[in-house]
Amino acid sequence: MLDKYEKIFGEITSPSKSIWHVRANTIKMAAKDLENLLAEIGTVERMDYQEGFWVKTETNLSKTAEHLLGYFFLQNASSMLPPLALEPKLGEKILDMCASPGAKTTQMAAMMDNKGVIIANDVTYKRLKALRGNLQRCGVSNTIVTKMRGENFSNSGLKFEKILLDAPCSGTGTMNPRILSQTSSNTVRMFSGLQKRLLESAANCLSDDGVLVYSTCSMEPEENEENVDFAVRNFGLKTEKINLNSNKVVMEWHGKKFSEDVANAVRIMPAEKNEGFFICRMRK
Amino acid sequence: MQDEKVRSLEILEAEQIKYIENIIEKNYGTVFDLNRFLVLKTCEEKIWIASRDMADVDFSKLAANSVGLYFGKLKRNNKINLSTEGCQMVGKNATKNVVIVDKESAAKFLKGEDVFPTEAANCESQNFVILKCNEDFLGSSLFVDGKIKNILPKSRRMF
Repeated sequence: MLDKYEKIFGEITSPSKSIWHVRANTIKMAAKDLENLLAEIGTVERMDYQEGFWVKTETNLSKTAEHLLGYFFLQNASSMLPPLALEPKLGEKILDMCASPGAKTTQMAAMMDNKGVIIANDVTYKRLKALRGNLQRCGVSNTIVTKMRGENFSNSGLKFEKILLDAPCSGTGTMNPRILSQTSSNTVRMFSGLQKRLLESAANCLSDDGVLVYSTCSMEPEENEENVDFAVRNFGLKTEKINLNSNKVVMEWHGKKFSEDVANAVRIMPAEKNEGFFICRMRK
Repeated sequence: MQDEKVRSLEILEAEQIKYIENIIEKNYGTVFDLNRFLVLKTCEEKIWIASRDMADVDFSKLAANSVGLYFGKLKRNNKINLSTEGCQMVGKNATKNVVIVDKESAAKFLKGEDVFPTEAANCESQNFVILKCNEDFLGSSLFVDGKIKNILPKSRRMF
């Protein structure tokens, strides 16, 4: 699988396992205060996104009192980007269609200063339990957790100004050897089909002039560019540029040329300090 | 289909909110403004707080599983057992029923053990107290005969 990606994208570095990715939960603690706290137990490097930190430490950060008390969220650097692309604002009504375990939901709630409303949806009780636990730990009060199939969400008739569709995916951008070895072309096809159904539902839930951010942590063009092309061609969505340093996207795959609109999407390639990610911002 | 707990949620009126604010003031010696939130209560007397903007949402269209943030549970004799988040919000200005623990006891408390406070001025026995260690509010527990009886939910413990 890695060979395949290197043929398409060039040399790939797998993310380091010895670096913690930490996002300050500004609902409870200022980023500067967290930086000082983390500096007591390790080497801290601030990300371009000022609320994110890379930390090198022997301490298991997931088992600290500060984590339990909700001062920070452990979340890969790349996974902090989709909410930035969506730009949630105070008072807005937002749908997070596949929200568990809540890393991006809690980030958006903090960006919205706990104002407005986020509908955080997922599909199973097990996933909702993790989501609810993290929302509570992070002190999020502007969220309604719902248990609905994302594909059927549009049946609710509700419309949203902004939607985050961080879709279930093969996860190949993590470069996890187990995932890479277990991901077959059938797996990719299965996810690609599900993602298209979710995109259709999300497009139907979007109010006029509303913004949809689609993201995955997959490397597969079938789960990324192909789906953006599908959304642009079928649901009248237009892509918008995202201000991020990124690699070029794939404009042609298996003999099929994608719409020029796909060029606005961004690919974050796996590197020492981040996993691979794909993000596209679209407007209705 | 809405979750049963959510179906039982009642949105509280100003008078009912005032009643809870009075309980907080009586127990923790601080005026805590709950009116900036939408305040909801379950049939089990559990209090949830949410963004006021939620008042515009049509809940009947959603299979809602939970709404807002769990704040605490009303108890007999005008007492309240605050959630960890409730403690963090109320604790900042609380002047009563706040026990101070050292770092070692804080770690034990977060693991679910009973501990003794280093300071327990203005604390009532048989009441719920907020645990504080340095600047951190750790949660709520029962203060009984000078000891902190641990009632921290398992989901909020450190393993």
